Amino acid sequence: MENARILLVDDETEFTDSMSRLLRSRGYQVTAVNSGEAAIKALGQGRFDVMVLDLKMPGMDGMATLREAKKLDLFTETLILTGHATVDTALEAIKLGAYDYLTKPCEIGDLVLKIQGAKKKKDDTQEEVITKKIDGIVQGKSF
Amino acid sequence: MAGPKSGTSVLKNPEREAYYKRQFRKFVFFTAVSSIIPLLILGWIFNYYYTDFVKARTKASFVTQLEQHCKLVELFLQEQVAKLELAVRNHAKDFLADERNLSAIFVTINEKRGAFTDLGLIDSEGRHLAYVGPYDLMDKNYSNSFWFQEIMTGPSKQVYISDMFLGFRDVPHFIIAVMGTDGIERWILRATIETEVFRRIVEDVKIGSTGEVFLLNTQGVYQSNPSRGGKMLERSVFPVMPFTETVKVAIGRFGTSENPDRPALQIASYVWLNNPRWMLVMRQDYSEALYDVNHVNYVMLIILHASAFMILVVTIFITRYMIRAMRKRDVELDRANECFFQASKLASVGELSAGVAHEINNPLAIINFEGQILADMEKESEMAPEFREQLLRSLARISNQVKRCKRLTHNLLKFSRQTESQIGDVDVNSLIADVIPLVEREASTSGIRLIVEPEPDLPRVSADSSQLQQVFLNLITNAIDAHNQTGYGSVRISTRANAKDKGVDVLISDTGSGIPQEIIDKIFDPFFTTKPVGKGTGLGLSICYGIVSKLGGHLSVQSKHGEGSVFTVFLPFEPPQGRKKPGETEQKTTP
Repeated sequence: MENARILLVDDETEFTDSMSRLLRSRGYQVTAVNSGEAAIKALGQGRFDVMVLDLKMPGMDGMATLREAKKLDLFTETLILTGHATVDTALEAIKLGAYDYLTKPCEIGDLVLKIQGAKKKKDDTQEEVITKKIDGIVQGKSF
Repeated sequence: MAGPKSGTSVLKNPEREAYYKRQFRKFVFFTAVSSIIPLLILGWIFNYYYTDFVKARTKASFVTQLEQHCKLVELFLQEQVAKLELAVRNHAKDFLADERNLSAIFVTINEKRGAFTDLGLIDSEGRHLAYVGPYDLMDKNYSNSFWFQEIMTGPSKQVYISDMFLGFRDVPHFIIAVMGTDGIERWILRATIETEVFRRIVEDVKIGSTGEVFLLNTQGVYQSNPSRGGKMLERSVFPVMPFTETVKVAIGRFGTSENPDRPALQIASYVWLNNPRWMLVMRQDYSEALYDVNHVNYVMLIILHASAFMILVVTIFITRYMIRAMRKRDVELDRANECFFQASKLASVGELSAGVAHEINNPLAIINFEGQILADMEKESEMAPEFREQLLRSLARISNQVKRCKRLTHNLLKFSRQTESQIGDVDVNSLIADVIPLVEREASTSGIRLIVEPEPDLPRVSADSSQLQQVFLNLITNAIDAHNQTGYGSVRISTRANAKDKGVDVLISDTGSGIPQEIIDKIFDPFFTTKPVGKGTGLGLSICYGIVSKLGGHLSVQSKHGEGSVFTVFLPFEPPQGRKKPGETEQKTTP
């Protein structure tokens, strides 16, 4: 499995910086942005397997970003990273289509595990969709 | 019902005690003024008028009685005079001078009453012409007697009634003399009235034990026998009153011969007879005459004052009761205020904690990641073994401290969001049984004996079982820690139904060091801890307090420094109105 392309979204530069370095050293391709708006822009421009999204941000917050990202109809999976260890916000995010959530501060090991999980899900979904499309073409159906 | 902090002393507030005392006095005073004083005034006024009324009636009755009596005496005298006059008018002197005829007349006039003692016919010289009677008076000459002179010299005095006198017979008596005339010669028919008969008529009035009726002449000499000292023909101490034809009443200390030194207050009525000039007196001791009214007054005044006293006593009792109720209400209000204060403190601390926790989590995450980066680098770099060892130790320490901080922030967040309770029926006994294994190891290593005393058939309560578990875990752990590693002691966990407050009490008592009075007020405050730095967050009891309060119960403590503490968790059977139904989660949006 090729290493995932990750979009890091957090308003704190130092945090994204540390995390980028850690993930890069583990072979991931990391793009870090510091706002929801920048994240949407980045999603429009590049291709990402997993978006690690902070919920609490000035301006467009994590939930809004997630909603916007879903509108783009991408395969990118979202992993919520939050300072609030509460079930209800996480549940809300998952209802909106997030893959899973982690609470700050988290262990790098846990983070990597969840990223792998998200990447796998993204790959599976993508494969499924492509297979369906191919099936459709094969069966002469238009889409 | 123990308050959330039995250690605080709102009960003995000197300022408030003074206030209660003031209220007590005020209430008693106003009640007394508004009820007792009007009652007394009314009673006294009534008493005054009643006495007045009865006095007037007594006087009136004295007047009526004497009027009747006077009439009786006068009638008696008139009757006797009339009998004699009849004899004088109808018979000539010569006829009467015959003793047989006189005797027949005597018998006739004496037939009914026996009022005459004797009867005599006297000529103008004062000699007896005839005499019928028990005395030997035939040879007596009356020409020098005062009555004889009076009747003979008086121009037209045809009837004469004398005062009482002794006369020849030396016995008190009075006479009635009627003058008859034969052309120019005058003669007198004289009769002596039977003193006993007359006395019976005069004195026959019953007026109590101190009452008497008597006759006085113009010189104040008794004409009858008074019943209270003195006798006929003696001078009376009763004053001779001015002449009056109508009955008068006087009240005064007239005195009696019985006890002249200490004259009692008396009521007396008097009237003058026309012929003879005698004063008829009826008198009675004032106290006896007004005995009934005095008695009624006495009883009434006793009842009046007893009622006033009763009102006062009842007022005092009611006021005491009210002040007690007031005091109880104040204490409850204080407790409620305290609860409210504690709750609002918790709420604001909760909000603050949530913010702080969130803000701290970010730098923590960075520290954690940076540590991880260093750890990664350590694996790839070459360095002196001592340096590597030092580095690894530091990294491990960083990681540990981050974990500790994370525990703290997560506790804070939990504390600030104790809203997600899942209410269900909880068997407190089995809940405690579940908690015990979690603390058994800690207890046994500290040498503490855990004693569980569940009340059988304990009713179930509506509560969140996991939150309650947290409460009991926390309280039991605290109880074990309270022994400060002494290596012995016990923690007793008991349950009991609280029928009065409709709930269940869970008591967690320890034999530990107890809580000093000066900090007992603070133990439920967030971040207050007595544990060494790094050992406790100071949130445990605060969280417990919050959870129990949210379930509608309360957490209270009683402690004696050096002897141990008792934490009481009260849980109501039903959570208070407005709480969530089972399965409903409270939404609280994350900022």
